[in-house]
Amino acid sequence: MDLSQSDVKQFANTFAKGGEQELHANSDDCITDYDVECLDYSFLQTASVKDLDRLVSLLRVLRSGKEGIYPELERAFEDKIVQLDASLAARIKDPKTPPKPSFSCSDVDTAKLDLVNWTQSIKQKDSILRSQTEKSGKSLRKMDSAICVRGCTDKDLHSDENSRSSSDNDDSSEQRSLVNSKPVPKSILKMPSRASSPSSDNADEENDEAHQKKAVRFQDEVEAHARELERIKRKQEKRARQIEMHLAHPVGEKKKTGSKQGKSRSPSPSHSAQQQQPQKTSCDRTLSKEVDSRKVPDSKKILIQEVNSEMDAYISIAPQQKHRIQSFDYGAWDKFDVEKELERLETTETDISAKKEAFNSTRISEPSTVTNAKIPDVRHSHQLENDVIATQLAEREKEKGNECFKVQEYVDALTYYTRSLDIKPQATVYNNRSLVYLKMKEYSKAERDATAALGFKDESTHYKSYLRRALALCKRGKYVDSLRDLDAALTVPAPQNGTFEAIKLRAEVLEQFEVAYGSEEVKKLMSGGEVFAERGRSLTKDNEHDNQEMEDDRRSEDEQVEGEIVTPLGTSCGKVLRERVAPVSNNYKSGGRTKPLDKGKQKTDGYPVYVEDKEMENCYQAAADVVRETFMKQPGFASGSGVAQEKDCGIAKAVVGNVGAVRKIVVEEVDEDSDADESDDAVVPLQSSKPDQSSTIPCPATAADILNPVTAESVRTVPKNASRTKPRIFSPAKTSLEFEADWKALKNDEIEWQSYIKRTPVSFFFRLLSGVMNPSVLPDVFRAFAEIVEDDADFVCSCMDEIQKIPRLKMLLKMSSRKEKAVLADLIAGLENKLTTDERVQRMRQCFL
Amino acid sequence: MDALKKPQIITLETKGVDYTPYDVKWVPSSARFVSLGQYARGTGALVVYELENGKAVKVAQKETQSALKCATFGASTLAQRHVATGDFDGRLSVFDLERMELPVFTVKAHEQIINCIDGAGGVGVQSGPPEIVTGSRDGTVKVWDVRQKDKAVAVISPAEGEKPRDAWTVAFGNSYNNEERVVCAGYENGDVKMFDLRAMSLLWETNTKNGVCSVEFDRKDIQMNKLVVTSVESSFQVYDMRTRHPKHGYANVSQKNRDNTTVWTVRHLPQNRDIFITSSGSGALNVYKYNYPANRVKEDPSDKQKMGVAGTVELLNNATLAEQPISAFDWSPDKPGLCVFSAFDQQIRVAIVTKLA
Repeated sequence: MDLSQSDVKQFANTFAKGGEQELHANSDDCITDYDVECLDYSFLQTASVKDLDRLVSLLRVLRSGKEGIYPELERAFEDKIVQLDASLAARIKDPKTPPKPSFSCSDVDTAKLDLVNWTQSIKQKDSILRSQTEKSGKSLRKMDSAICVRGCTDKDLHSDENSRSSSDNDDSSEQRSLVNSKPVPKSILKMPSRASSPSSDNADEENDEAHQKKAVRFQDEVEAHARELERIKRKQEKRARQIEMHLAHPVGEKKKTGSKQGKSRSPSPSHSAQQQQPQKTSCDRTLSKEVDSRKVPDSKKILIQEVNSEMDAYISIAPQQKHRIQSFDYGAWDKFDVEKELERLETTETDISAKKEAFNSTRISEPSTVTNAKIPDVRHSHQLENDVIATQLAEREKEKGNECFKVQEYVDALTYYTRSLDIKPQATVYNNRSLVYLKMKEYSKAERDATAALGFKDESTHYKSYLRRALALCKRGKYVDSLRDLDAALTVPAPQNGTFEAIKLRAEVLEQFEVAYGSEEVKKLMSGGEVFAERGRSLTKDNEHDNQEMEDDRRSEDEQVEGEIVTPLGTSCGKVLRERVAPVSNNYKSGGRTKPLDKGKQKTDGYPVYVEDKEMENCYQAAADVVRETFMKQPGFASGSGVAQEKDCGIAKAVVGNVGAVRKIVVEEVDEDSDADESDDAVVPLQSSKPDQSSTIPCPATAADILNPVTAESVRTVPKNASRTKPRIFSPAKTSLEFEADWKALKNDEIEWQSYIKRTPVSFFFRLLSGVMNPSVLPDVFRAFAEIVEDDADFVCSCMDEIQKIPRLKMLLKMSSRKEKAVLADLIAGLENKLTTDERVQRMRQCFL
Repeated sequence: MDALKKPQIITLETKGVDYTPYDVKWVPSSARFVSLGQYARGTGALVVYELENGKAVKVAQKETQSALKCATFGASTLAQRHVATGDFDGRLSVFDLERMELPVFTVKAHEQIINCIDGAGGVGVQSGPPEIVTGSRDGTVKVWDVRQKDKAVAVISPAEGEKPRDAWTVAFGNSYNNEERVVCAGYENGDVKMFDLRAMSLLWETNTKNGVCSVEFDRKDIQMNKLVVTSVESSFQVYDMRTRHPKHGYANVSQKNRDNTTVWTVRHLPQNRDIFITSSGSGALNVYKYNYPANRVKEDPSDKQKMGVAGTVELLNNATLAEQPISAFDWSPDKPGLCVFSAFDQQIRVAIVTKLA
């Protein structure tokens, strides 16, 4: 994944990144609009001083790597700019650009240069490691020996066991990382400080001392386990005979001392032992083992029994078996005195604590898996103190995870990623793990990891995180949240290969959303959603202040409607609903303001905002749905479920009317004179809530009677929210994708669609429509034109002229049905009627028909 | 893979030495590497080089009593980075590179020369105790725990009465948690044996007909995935170690080197387990990529048992870089593609394999 340091491409990428950063630092919006044609030598030749600004912005585009990386062209641009205006030389200079020759030099030189760079960076790391080793060299060495003999405290053991048992359970991953990294190293660090005597200046002396200590310990250990080994040996011999190894007959020689012995204990019997004596801690087990080794004759007896038993495949468990009573041996269990056993354990424990040193030194050879497991953990957790090492280890685990992921071994990948995160949390690893969870269809976990990744400040990974989370959310049916994430993904720095994935996914999510809830519902939910609000805001930046105030007003009013909102989308949807008012006002704004962008081709009057009656009907329907749902949930209402749908609707209407939250806006004309106070004007219709005529039809009391107070309460909140789905006023789309989304939302709403088209600046059409994938968008645009043409033929004509430039227009037209062609023909005819003199119209006829 | 994307092997530095180099290893997390071998007078050389501006500069050296044959950093932690060496007298020593005067640990491990060494458990988390395995001419393979002197953790020796076979190569593997670990050994008669260190049993064995020069698992610290076995007769096998059929064992794919010479070593790229390099007797390096089959497991029609499916091996590039056999090769664990190798022409070379990402 991050292997690409070694070649030219890597260099190029780093440069591109550098350029991009600079670009973001300057945050120049003008680069969003540029002509690819101009990124050419021919343009350079013709460029003059007046193109200087353009040249600079084009250079930025070039450096961003958006259109590909052309170092030569970049240089040509730089030269040209300097030639035109020498004062700009310093400004355009890319400070991050390393010496140019690196591009032209051969692979060998590149590799050499790369190596030198790497050498420098790794040397720093190396020196850190070395200095740390130097500093703590002696203590480290001691620690090493100390670790093996270190008696683990009960707590340590427990925590370790916890951490191990939870290694597959990510829910406790945080807890685990705490356990792993915090308490353990401290306890270790105590060891060397205790061990280092004041006279530890002489390194050699130290060494010898350490060696001696080691030797003593080893001797202790050997003595303590000699008998045990004897036993093991015999068993191994026996087993070896059974196994019949070909050449490597382990006769006598093939044995393991204490620390290995633990390995040879197969997991299943030890588990069963644990199950039988669950009250015993792992420490107890080791203690009892020590007792064992002192009572040799006893264990010999056991040995003989065991050899006869079928269990001898699991021989090495022998020490434990003294306390083990077979599960089916009910007689023995009857005789088992728990009190006595506990007492015995207690005395042993006190005995041991008195001989703590002795205990410590024998622990090394304790063959328990616990000890074995403990050692590396401890070793590494002390390493974790060292950031360099931690990074290294985390990287290593991540790489292992990546490799597993590549070959679809998701379970393994998960283990390694989790380990990596335990060592050092990294955004990329969270992202990767999130992807693994996605593949494993554990969406909530995937979502959580993506969220965790978003918690990191570095934005470079956010794109992926948003994408992963969006996918996870989508799979869990949280479409609104998913779409929001996808929109967010488009706002953060995009990766090298562009944002195609996000765009594609967005379309898919939207589709699924529609499939799941029907396009009507989606329209409603999306219309006022902050997704669109976001866009409106970005388009009409200068209005932001006014809007902000309005939003605040709206929100404060909104606060009254708190509580759970019963909708099919759950709370996530509720949030959107609640925030719906703000965008509405916002859109009023943009509706008015986008006018000037139209290059004065139209009168600067405000645009009428249509809200159909049908829209109102929708609200009622939604409210009715909710009411019905609530009713169904009422146990007492089950018998009365035969209530007709019309009646439901009526009830809803009643409720809505009762609450009086419905504000109907029929056709509000924003006066052209009120440009300055536009915002106020725009808000007026919203605030002036008109009583709905429908509220008079059914009796409000009916609803109140049927609903018990609780239900009534919940219902009351619903219509309030539902009522907010009213005006869907879209600001012009900035990208094809947005345009397509808007089209989807508006296609069934002729008038709104027309007004939307009207609001779209002429110059936008080419760009918007050339990127639209759906073939039915264009006919709908034509249909809208056909309606508008009567009022504003000039606008339509200009738009058509723009559309004419679309490269794949011919193909799109071919795909249109006869009906659609008829619409187009009507449109052209209308244009010809209106603008008989305009030669553009004549051209159009040729082009479109 | 088209020509542009093909990995290139570029030699960056050639360093002549005054001893016969037998093994060379990168020091983890550094620009240093150690080389060891034999001086003309029979003593051992242990030299540390560091890269300075693309040149290898000798930074430390030590002459030992007996010639050194092999080395590993596998069992030492990043904080320590001690090198474990095996010498011609059968002595296993662990040196601290910061002060090489005296070994940190030394033990007379074998009666005869230690041919090969490998370490595990040093780097990485939850990958078991730090252990070193040595293979010797006396036919035994011993596993050592550096924390425990004088006593091998496990000894694998030929049965009584059988002729001891030279153990030419050893490798750890399957060390994916604290309990599991296997050691694989290759012998001069072509035997490959795999021992389970947890259960202390022979797990698997096979015979490749020709002396086994090198065995390596693609990763030591994951569940056994792939094993590459190279032989004196210019061929090597890649075994898929995930699925074992009771009768047919592990599935494998065999590949023959272009030049009909011994395949001395095989080393997997630390950053990508499916790319490995082999060094040949003609002084050439071959970069291979293992491609997994669509399904790694299939059902044996005759007995309904699961059996592995071998993938394919693809030669990415090869280059002849030395006049004599390349006896030792090591990838840098930190820089993808960077490698060092030593040949019998008494040269140590630092090279980089590009475009491995």
